[in-house]
Amino acid sequence: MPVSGGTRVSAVDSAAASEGIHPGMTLADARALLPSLLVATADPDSDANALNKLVDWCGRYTPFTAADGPDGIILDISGCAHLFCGEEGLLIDLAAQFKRMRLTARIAAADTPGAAWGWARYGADEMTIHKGGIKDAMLPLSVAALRLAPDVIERLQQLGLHRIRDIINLPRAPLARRCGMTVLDRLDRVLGYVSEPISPVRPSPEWRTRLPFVEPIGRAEDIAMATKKLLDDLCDILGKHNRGARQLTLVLYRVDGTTQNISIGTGQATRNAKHLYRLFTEKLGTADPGFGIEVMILEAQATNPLSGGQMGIAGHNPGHQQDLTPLIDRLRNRLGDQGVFRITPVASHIPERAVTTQPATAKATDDDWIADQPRPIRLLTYPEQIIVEAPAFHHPPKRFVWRRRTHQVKYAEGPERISPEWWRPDAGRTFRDYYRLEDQYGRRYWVFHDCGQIEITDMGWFMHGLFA
Amino acid sequence: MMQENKNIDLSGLKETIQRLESGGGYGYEASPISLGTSAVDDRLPWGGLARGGLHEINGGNAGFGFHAGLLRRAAGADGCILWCRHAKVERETGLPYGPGLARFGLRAGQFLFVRAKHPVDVLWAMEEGLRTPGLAAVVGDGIQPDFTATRRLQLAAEAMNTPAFILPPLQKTTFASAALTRWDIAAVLNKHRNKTMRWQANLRRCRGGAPKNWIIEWDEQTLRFDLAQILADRTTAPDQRQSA
Repeated sequence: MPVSGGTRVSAVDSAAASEGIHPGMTLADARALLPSLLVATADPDSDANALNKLVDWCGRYTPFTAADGPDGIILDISGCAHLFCGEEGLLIDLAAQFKRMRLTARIAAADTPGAAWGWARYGADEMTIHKGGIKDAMLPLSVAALRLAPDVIERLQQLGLHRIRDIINLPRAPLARRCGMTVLDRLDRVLGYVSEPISPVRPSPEWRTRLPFVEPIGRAEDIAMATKKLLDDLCDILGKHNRGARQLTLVLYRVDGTTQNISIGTGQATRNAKHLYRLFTEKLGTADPGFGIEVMILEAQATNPLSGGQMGIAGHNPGHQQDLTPLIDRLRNRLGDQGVFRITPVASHIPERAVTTQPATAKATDDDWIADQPRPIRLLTYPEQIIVEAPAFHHPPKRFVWRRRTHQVKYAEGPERISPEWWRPDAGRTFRDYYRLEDQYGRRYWVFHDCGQIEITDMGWFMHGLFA
Repeated sequence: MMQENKNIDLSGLKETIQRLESGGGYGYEASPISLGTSAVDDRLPWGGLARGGLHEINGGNAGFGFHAGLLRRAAGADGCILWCRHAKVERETGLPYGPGLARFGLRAGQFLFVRAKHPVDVLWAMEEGLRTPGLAAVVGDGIQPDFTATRRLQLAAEAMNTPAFILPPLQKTTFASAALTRWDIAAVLNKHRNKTMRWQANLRRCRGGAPKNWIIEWDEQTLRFDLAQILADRTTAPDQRQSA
């Protein structure tokens, strides 16, 4: 890593460390110590990415996971340890997984995050669990285990305070004056006098179900079965609490330490496992099991209250207006929110403004258009310029060319003058004279003459719609 | 005891079972879609247009008009219509325009639009709609499915007894199709253009029936098709394929 004074070593492995190479050394010094040293350029961004992936992966143990510094991960395992036969079981499993991933890790579990941090980095063993009696357990550790800045550590050491036991019983006021409040603050946090919440990387889900596998699974049928099982469980839980899911995420934890998220959303809160499963089937095709999936977790990120009672039985809903929400949900999940919509009338004379779209989940409108003038059945997305032969101003054309074809006008009706909506700031200022033209084959068109154009009769003509 | 049981009239029960089996238990009758004029209805093998079936309507804007009339006949004033559009052909054919559809007695609230970039998604959305109870009609706009796809749609239409319509793009090549009917609609010169909408309806294919040709018009007052009374001055438009 190039810094002032030459390229320096930013990290070492255990073999290099045993030869006396340590981070912060210049590369030249390190090479002098060990000529056969293998060097790779440090890449902090990739390291951070890899760490974040690992943080995601750790979600298999608890939803509260967060990266801690450039090289640490902190997990809040309160209430989760029983899934792995206690804290010890969880740590053994974690260590085994890291070993399999060929990661060197130091793991510690303690009552406070600060104590776990200290033990993981400055404890004697690679794996430590401390229950209760933090104060005594922390005594032999170096003051560096308090997460202090290097200069504070240095000052403490200059004062001869090397271990936590040296400072823990010192009078607090003089210590704070000499070394800053941080020391006391950190000490309180480690001992649990001050609470230290950890902020998880992803918002903690309201409801979740979890399914570990004895053997990693990879077949699509197995994934589908597992999804079904998770959904059944989750819907049971939601049912007990009178909630319905709006947004669900299925997280696949792969053997190689990576994760994949599959999310669905619903237009209305539901806990109909069958319906939710249909939404997932659309997306399960994208599930990539890699070398196998060991754990699947289903989380409900958003839920709404949903009162109990009979869930609808298909076909027992009398009348025409059946609930189309399940259909809309399926369409939206595949085509996106923009892909499904309804139309609503707008009270406007401007043809292209007379219709607006609204989300499919909105209530169907009862409004309607006032059909006082004939309107085309299709409106072009944009008016298309046409070349016309018009005898005089304010007269319909005799002949026009649209999309490179010439049309003889047999009958014409109009003009119907449509004024701009002057009260809207973005409205144009020109009138449009609309004509209904019928060509030699009886096809009927809706064209307009933009009267704001220069007063040349055959300019400023546009095709805007097609009549039935 | 045995004697009494034998006398129970099973016809009502059988009817119910048949209705349930044909998926018609949702308020829509299994009856065909009447065009409103016996002159056309009687010439179709179903006594109207088959409800649980796929119908293909060609002919550009004239076809859109005829199709809108059929939609009104199929869905009535409140049936929900799933209209699946292929986004690519929008620029060419324009967007279905509400005020124009209102002339056929169709309301804005009846429509549920789907807009997809790929024809496969349009077909998928159509099939999802056809297999959902409660829809009055499903439309596939701007797609040109092959035989297998039309067969799937036809089966799906039969399952819930929902009519499906295909509006192929203007530039199309004719494919084999499993649709029950294929219509070619052409504009007709019409001096009463403002009062009525009139087309030459050419029934090109019809499963179990013979091809037939009518000049029909849409009556905006009674919301039904009728045979055109005046047959003078009729020049039909050439095929849209060459013209567009």
